[in-house]
Amino acid sequence: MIRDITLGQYYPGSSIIHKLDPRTKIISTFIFIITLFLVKDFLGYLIATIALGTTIIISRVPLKFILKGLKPIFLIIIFTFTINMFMTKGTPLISLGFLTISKEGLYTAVFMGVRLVLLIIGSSLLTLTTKPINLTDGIEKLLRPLRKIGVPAHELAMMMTIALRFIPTLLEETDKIMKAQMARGADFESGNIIKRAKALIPLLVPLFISAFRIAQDLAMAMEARCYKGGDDRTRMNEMKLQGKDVAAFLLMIVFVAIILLQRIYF
Amino acid sequence: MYLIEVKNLTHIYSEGMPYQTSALTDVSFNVKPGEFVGIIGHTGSGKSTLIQHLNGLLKPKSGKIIIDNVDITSKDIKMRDIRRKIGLVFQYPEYQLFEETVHKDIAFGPLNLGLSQEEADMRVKEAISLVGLDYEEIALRSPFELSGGQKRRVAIAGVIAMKPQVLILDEPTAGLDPKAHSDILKMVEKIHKTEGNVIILVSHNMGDIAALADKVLVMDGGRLALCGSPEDVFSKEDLLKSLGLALPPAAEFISKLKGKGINISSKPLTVEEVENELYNILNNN
Amino acid sequence: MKNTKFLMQAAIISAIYAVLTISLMPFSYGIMQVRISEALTILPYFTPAAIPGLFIGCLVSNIVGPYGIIDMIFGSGATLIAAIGSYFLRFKPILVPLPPIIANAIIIGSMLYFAYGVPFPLPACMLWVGLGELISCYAIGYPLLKYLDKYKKIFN
Repeated sequence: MIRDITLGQYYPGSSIIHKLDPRTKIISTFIFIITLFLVKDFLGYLIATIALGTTIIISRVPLKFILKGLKPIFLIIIFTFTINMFMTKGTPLISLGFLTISKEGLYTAVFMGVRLVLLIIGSSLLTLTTKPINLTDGIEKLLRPLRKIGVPAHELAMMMTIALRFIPTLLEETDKIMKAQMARGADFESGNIIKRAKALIPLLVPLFISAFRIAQDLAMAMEARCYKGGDDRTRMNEMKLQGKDVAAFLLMIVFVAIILLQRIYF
Repeated sequence: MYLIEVKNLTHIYSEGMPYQTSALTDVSFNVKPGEFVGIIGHTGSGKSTLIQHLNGLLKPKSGKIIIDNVDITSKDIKMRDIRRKIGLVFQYPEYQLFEETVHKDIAFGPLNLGLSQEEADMRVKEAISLVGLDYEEIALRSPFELSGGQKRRVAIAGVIAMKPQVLILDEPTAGLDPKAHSDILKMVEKIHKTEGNVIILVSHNMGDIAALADKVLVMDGGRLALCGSPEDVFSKEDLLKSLGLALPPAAEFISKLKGKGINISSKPLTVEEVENELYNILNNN
Repeated sequence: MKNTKFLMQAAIISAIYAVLTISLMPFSYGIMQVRISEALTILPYFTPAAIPGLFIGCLVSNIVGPYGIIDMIFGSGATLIAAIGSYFLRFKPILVPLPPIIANAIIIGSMLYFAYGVPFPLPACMLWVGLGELISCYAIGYPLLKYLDKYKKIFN
């Protein structure tokens, strides 16, 4: 049941994309997404698709997994597409009874649809090629400069790391509690929304008590090992930017430039 | 006739995925009304999977489970009907406690079965006394204020209050000190005598199983390796050892005596039986 | 302020948030946003560790779950603002679930409208998100608050 969920979206591999510094990947994904909003016509999307497609090919992640990222928002895509198609007023193309599809409607629907798809695939490529633990390291490093304005980067990163470490433990705990309560006749599946909400109390209360007990034990264990918080903590593998990261950044700059040029001149 | 019939039960985890594993393969056995069944086998042998099938938490890939003439593996079975018949107490059951008072927590099960508040209240009182606690003293306290041993009893009471025909206990003495361990076992025995239900006890403790069980199931790698009375099962010393299991301490002792050449015809399984046997031997010399 | 106990509590809250988001997935990531994990937004009532805890929890859920960067920023941002709001309202329990509803309605609603291009007027998007949050926060969260109130000492 819950055991079957492979934690995280990571698809193991050793492509160049996988080996890039997580900071590079995070920033590139950001830039890619922002650039998508600068595109004004399909030609721009074509360029973006080629860029994304090439990256996917280099990463050697199978298409099946790339598309899996679309599953959760599949409904939103269909929904948005359909509404845009039928509701946008303009020069009519096809008429089906009292529903008209206008030329503008079809255009908008496809345009927004493509953007959404590129957006989701772009960001899921990040999680597909980067292990959660590396992502959190990357986020910590990126937040470090903000320490000057009081953002506790190290502490936040520590929380992320520990949270990741405990997710499997708590998943098991949740499973156990759910089964124990089900054995006493609790029903988590049927009933209206209010009923189901109430049914969650026998799950959440024991989960909390368990979890906080773990937190207490963990705090003691860490202090027993002289943990004092982290400004000067060193790590086992220091992340360093390498040649491939610089190359990736340059390519991103080229990409953005092309998009901008396309928008202005073509 | 039989209260429980398990026929060719097979279960596969993560079917279709690259890491699919066979958790249970072709397990079959029967249980008569009122029997006390012990299940032994080490971690990974399929004990947990088996008991979760018995109370409907898991559905098998193939095979049938018939309890009190109802096929609980059929498609139309309602969960509520299963829960009425079979109660399952997991390991470290105190983790399931959540209510504001002990009374409310124990009443959770009966109320879920659809009983009225009055009926549920009565069940709570009965259950509390069956687990050896005092109603006046404990009913209105928060379950989280109790000691470990008390919490465990309250958790078990929560399942007994549902008056199941079959009560499954997964290592009810896990993590307890020796006194608490024997107290809980005495409690289980008392429940068995009072309610007359079927008790299925999963345990690592051979001595407990030898003393209490009418029938012993030995699980190994998802298969039922041995099934029989304690005398039968624990006489197969070599087989048990090859499965990585020990004998009950009494039987182990007798086995060593036999090894030294002392002739013993009976098959004592408990400390008392060994004591008697030793008396006989010493008197006859 | 950032002593070890505080850190661990925050980390565990993050983990619980992520676990609830993952294990009860169909509710969280599908079209109806009744996110059970949002019931945890009442936690600032008990401890300020819930402020970073919920924020990181939302962040981590998006690392481990499938929505990705956009939801990571907007969702986590909304959660952070909401948690601070709830913390300030902690003296009036009935108001504690309010900030998450408002923050998420506005921020996530805008995200859906502007970034995802959902073709309904902005107020409709906000209303829709707000409704889902309302259920999570008042139907699940508030009773949870009342129950856990009896066990306050585990937070110390």
